[in-house]
Amino acid sequence: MTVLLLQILALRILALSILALSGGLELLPLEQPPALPESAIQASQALGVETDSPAGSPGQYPAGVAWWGTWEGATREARRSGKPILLLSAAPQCHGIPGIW
Amino acid sequence: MDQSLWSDPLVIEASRKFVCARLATYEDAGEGKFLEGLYRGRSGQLENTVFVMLTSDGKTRLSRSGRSPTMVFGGSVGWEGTVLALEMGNIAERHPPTKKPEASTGPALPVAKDVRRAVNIAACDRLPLVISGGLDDEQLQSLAAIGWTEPYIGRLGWASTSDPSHLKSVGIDKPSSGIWVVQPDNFGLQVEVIAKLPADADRATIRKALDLALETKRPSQKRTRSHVQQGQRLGKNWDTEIPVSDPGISPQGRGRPSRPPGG
Repeated sequence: MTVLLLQILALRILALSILALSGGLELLPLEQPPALPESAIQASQALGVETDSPAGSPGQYPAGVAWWGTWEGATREARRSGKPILLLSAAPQCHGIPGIW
Repeated sequence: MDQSLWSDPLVIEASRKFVCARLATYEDAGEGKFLEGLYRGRSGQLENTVFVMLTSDGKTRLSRSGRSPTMVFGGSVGWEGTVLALEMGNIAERHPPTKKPEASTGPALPVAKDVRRAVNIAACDRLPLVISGGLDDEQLQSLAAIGWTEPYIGRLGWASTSDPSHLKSVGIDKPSSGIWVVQPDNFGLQVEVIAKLPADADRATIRKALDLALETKRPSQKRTRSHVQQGQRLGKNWDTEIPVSDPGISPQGRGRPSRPPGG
């Protein structure tokens, strides 16, 4: 078990090292996030919508992958940029109910 | 789709070295055939999810194909993101961009197939959405240039249309040409307008509207089971373009195709 945990830890360190060496990882100092505007908190409370951001945290959305939504658009961009393609497909409904992957 | 995998900072950082295509399964007949050619499960049918990495011409596989990155690359529970980022880094190193893009042409807007699907997908991603209506090429290019800068990359959904009825169908009154920054409802069927801008809005005005969306809205919390139960209770339905064929979903739970297969 200990050996397995050490292997996992080594893998994580290796991944971080490779990204850091390739310039793909920038270590930034932690900053205190600005407070969420009161209006946003009130709006969420009024709607009775639960959110993933705790009250008082910024309304900023976390960074995300920039997805191309169609194969046509993606291949046009791949031709333009010469970048390889990461292709994923997922159904934007569950049991016929929209709004969830 | 495991959203936690795609919100891993290592994966997001590595994703910038790729063109990341996320197709909506069962929402386009042509793409469905293409996906079937890439991966079929034991059932021989197109399943809910497909994952593969390809060369920039889309013709050569750079990884095995499967239902998910974890199926293709492995990874212990909790470490799937690390393994995926590592594999992405390896592939990007072995397959750097084959050309340098011309400075004069930036990437286009990464729009969804249509407004209806863009609203649903933004709801799935729990992101605000930007819809352009009736913009000319120059205005679209200007909007795209903003969309591909920080802090907007990967934080907004995008849609474009020249058909006012598409805007009306998601709850935008009096559609005209312009830019709408909207928040999809929980089920991705209707929108709440956060800001409406004229088609010729300058960049500072557009940025201000996008900032407003990101600063005042927050991603809603969603749990699959309760979301589905609530949707069934409220009679929310989604019509797919082609029939759902995933063997893991019972025929009763597959929703309805909007038109006959192949039609």
